[in-house]
Amino acid sequence: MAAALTRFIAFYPRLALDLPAGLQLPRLSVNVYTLYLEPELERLLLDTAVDQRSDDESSLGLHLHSARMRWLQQFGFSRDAIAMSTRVGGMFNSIDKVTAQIDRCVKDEALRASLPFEIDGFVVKVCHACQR
Amino acid sequence: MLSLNSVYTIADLQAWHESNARRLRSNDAFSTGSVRYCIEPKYDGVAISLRYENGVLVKAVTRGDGTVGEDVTSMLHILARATSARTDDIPTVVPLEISPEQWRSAINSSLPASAAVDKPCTFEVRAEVVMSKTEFQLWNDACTAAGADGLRFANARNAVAGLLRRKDEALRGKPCEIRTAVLWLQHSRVSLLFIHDSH
Repeated sequence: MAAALTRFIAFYPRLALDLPAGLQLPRLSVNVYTLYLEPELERLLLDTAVDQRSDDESSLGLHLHSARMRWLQQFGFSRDAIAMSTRVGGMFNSIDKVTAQIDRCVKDEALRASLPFEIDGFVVKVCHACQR
Repeated sequence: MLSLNSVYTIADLQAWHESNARRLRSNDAFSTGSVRYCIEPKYDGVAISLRYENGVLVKAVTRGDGTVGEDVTSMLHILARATSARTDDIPTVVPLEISPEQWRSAINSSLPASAAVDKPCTFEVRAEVVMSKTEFQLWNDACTAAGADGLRFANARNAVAGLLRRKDEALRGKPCEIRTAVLWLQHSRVSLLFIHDSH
């Protein structure tokens, strides 16, 4: 059997926790940005998406982003991580609408007063343009 | 790992947009498309790269200077297990292993049958590790109650960075005698999980 054991994949030490009495490790969360696959697979997925794209070519990038998030959820990443990533501040089809949204943030006194603000208890940073 | 650049004026933002449009127009697939933007919140935590090989999390590295980061794999294992043990409906924050079945089901749903992928390849996940303000307050309160003020943090972001990078034995703990090894038998294509307990 030893000869058949051809590949050592992983060797994880399991660490024992030695915290002070009454102290439990806090719960951390993960906000997933994206998934990078091997180049050949990335190219295959892009070609497939291009072949199957609808008339709205500009949605290709968002379509692929959504697919990556869906795969990560199927891999076992928590729903929290995916939900945080897909909770968008908005989708805009021109830079003018993006700048208008920024302008609205800058002029929104209530929003400026709450900086940095929170979403579901998580601290959200804002860009310098919004803080000024 | 890349980072984000700041812009301070609308003119800078316009210039960035125009550079995007120029680059996309050079690609035939986007020749008639317009550029669309997706805006999402930027959570305040620690950026991390998770590398999986054959479905196993082998490396978790912080961004560092963008080229060289800090290996926090061991601590992420501890925190993932700690979180997993405390939640009922969320399996894990970060899966430590992804089965071939999970991989096939996910990836092949987006591929034609002729291009189906059989086993997990190497891939990386980019993410931000964050802590809620409530969890941060609970941690600090518990530290005070336990007489461990040295483990308190100034804010949630510092708590994440501090916990991931913790080196001292008081928090990291000592390796125990249980070790888990995953071994593949090539000829039989059967995966076996050996658990060696030397207690």
